Amino acid sequence: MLGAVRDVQTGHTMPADALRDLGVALQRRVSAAPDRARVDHAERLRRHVVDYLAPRARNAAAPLVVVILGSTGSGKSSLFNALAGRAASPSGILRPTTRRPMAIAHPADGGHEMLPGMASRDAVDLVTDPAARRGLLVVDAPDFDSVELANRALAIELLEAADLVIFVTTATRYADQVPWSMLARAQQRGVPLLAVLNRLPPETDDAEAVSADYRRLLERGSLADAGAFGRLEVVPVLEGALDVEHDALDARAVAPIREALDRLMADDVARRDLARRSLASALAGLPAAVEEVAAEVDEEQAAARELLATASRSYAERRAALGEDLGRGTFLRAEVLRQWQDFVGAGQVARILAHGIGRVTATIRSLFRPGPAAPAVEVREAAFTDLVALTVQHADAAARRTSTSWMDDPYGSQALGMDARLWGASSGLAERLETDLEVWAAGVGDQIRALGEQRKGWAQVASIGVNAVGTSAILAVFVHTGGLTGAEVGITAATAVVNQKLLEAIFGEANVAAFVTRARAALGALIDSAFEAERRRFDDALGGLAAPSTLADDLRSAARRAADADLS
Amino acid sequence: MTLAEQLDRLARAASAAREIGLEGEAAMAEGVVGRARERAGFPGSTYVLALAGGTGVGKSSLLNALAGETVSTVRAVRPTTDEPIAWVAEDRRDELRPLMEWLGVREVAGHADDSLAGVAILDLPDVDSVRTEHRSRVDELLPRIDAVAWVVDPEKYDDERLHAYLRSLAAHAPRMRFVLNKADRLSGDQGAELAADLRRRLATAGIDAPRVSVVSAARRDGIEAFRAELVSEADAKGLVVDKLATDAREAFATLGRAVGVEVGASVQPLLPAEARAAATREAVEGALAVIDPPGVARQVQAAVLARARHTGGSLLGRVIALLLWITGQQRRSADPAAYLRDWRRRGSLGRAVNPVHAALVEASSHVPASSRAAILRSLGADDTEGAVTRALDRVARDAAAELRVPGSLLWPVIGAVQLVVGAVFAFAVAWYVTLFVSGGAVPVATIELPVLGPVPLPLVMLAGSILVSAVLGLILSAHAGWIGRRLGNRLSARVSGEVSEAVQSAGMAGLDRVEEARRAIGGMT
Repeated sequence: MLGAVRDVQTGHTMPADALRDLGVALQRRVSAAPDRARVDHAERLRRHVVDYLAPRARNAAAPLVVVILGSTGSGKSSLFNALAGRAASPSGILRPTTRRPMAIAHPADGGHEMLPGMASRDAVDLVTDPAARRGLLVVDAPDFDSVELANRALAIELLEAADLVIFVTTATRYADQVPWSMLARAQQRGVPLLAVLNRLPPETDDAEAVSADYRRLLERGSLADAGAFGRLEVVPVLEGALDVEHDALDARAVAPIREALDRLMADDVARRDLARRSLASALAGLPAAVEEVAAEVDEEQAAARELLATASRSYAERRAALGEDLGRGTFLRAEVLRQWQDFVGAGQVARILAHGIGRVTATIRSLFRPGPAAPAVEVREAAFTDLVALTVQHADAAARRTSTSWMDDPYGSQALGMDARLWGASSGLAERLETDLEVWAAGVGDQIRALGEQRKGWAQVASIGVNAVGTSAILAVFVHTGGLTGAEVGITAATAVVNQKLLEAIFGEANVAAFVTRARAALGALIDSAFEAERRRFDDALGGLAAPSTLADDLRSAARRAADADLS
Repeated sequence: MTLAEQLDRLARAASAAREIGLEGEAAMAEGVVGRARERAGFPGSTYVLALAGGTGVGKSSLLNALAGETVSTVRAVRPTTDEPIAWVAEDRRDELRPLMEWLGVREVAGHADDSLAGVAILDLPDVDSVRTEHRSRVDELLPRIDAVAWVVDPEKYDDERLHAYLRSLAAHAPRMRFVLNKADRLSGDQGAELAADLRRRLATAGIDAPRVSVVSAARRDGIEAFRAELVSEADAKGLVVDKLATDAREAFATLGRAVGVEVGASVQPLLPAEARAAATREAVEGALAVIDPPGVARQVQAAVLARARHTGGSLLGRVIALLLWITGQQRRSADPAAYLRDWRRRGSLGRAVNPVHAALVEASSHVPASSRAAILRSLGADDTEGAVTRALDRVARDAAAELRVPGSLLWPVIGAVQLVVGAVFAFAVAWYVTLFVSGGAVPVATIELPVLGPVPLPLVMLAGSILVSAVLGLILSAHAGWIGRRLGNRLSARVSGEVSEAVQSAGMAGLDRVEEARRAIGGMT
């Protein structure tokens, strides 16, 4: 429905499309913002767009939303009652008095449509009164500075939804910081204002001094020309100027306010003008207001990119270091290799390795000294344990490095704070690697079997034992002769040499080379994916921040389109 | 415990916190100690009561009403008071000067009211106006103030700004008063109603049984009662001490939170003893797998044997030893010192390092996120690998440096005999060669052996020398093997023990340091 809105007479596009897009983009922001303050910031703007700009852009003739805004105890409800001419909103001495906004409207005006967000949540009490001013929806807002933080949220929401704000303060309050933060936002969105300065001291000099000081502050806050009809006049109300019967401020004291509202009621053109002016300045202020949110998004995205890059870099560096360690093969314990060397260098195995007469003697020798039984399972398990330990060690280091540098960033340290385990490798990593290695080893076994059948070397395989040959193949992947010199690495190289000889004797040199390359690639992939899973924990820790998005640009472009749209 | 003792303890806890990298917390605690010692050094006969609150609630009016004259300027224009103003007994003015200077209060007014001599009343700037520097000034001053009278009025008593202060200062509630001013704006029992509402609000901020005075500074209602309450607060010294003790307790609590210690409760170790023992055991096993003491023992045996062969071997034995040396076999299998020094090439340290690192990370999960990075660094988690490596290196280097492959007097003797036997053998061989070459022209003596009868002398020499050489060789091997085994086992046991110690101290030293600091902070030392 919104999208179809078009001003029939002029043919100009209304800002409705852009506002709808902006509302959607802000909603996205609200659900993805990293902390309470930023959620509130986006939500505040979203309400402004959805609850005020969109309905007002659709219908300039709808009733004006007039919001009475002010500190707790400043006399908002008394003013409301004075304007309504009856005790509609209870005022009281106990702070804060008004917890639910109350709105008063003429029965002929559907007030609800002008506060769609609040009305749909049943957050506003709407009173219809035949005596109320037509064309005006006057709302008594809760305070924004009491302990009741929910009140502040409602007040902010009403400030964002207002066509006209009646700002009430007192001689005690007028220089408080919190009200001025509200006025600053009013100034930014360009909402027309009426100002009441309540509880002025009875001494004329003092009252005048305070009024003058307040006007000076308004001027300094660039609000001097924010009045509903030009200059912003401050309506002074003396302490005790009350109409006790109606629980209201003295009607005479607030006459200028009443007159202003009466004039807006009587004069359709003036009312439309005010609505249009309020809308136009709100739209004009939109890009600047949205830019604040978009800049937050940009800043988060840049921080997240940097954090993720740090994580990627740390893990990539550690993965490379792990690759080097694996390439050297020195991660295997001497004990493991010695067992294997003892096995490969003796008995059945020596027989296979020998040629000619040597084979005969080896065969005879093996009859008397069959050599040690193949420590296939022990060696494989020990090799896996070492490989897992090495991998976990590097994953630990990567996690630590990532965490350490994340601590320097607010988003990073926030993400880390939720999970101490990010400081090390995940506790399931070792188990995961063990499982993956078993699967990988099974694959290696299958390949060995296939190779053996192909080469008709199966008899030899059978004579040593499939398990032992499988272990031999696994060791060949872990330790290889490339780049090693015997003197340098001792047992590692020595074992690698005999082990490789054994496999080549059974399967042929070319087959072994091809097989080892394949198996090593599979092992690399297995470790890669384990490292990737480790790194991804950091993505998850960042939550929504980690996903790159076009949100900032979407926000800016929608705000610009809305601001550029033709209002005539 | 006296305040001085408490402060000493806090100072120790602060330096303990600093030692484990909690710079911010340590600085905070040291600030508390410093301030408290300074404050305690000023005359204790007068305490400082500050009138604090929002702009326009009537702090200055209240002071003026108490004084019965204008001490602090009151104006309608907000905010009025920029600088704190003190109101003290005239005859204590000199005595209090250093205290006022310490507070940074330049304006001091005197009075002659002896009953209020025990209190210096301070009119503070506001905490809520657009002049944010006022608030900063108050925030700076508040920690040095002994007691506060929060002045509120019917408009501002429920302000979030005020209650945020009260929530954070709730521990000082016994030294707080609340003055509900502008009662003249209220009628009938509204004052009591409002005071009740204020009490209810204060209770949610954690302040029970607050002392609330309802006054009207403008009409001087309730001022006398308020003054009487101030007069009755006779024990200025006690109040100041209580205040400082509360500061110290709060600082202790903050330090405790930072290291996961609840003050007053017993300090639970970050890592339960069983978990620590298990991690250490696993790490030691892993380190031993790499250092490989049984392998070292084997190398020692081989080295002893090689030396024995060198000094006491047969000719053949020496030839074999030479070959082994030339091929480098000896270096690989019979050089225990090199084997020890080369431990790093024999496997990854992961099995030794990972259990320690995981245990330290686990330990760090019991401190809050904000101090975790510092604690982890103090635990040594950022360089477990380096620490363990260095410790093991030291063990290996020391063991290798002290290692001497022993000799024996027996071996050269055997060697000499072997030489003689070798000569006999050579002589016999030469004899046969000569016989062969000369075609029998050389005479062959025979000797009569029981059972065998006459046997040619060269044959006896040949067989005898081989037999004797073999027996000597066996004796040598047995002796060298015995020495080598003994030495190897001793070294192996020693290295194992040292590895275990090294891993424990390198891996867990940080944890011990942190636990000691935690005990100091928890007041357990």
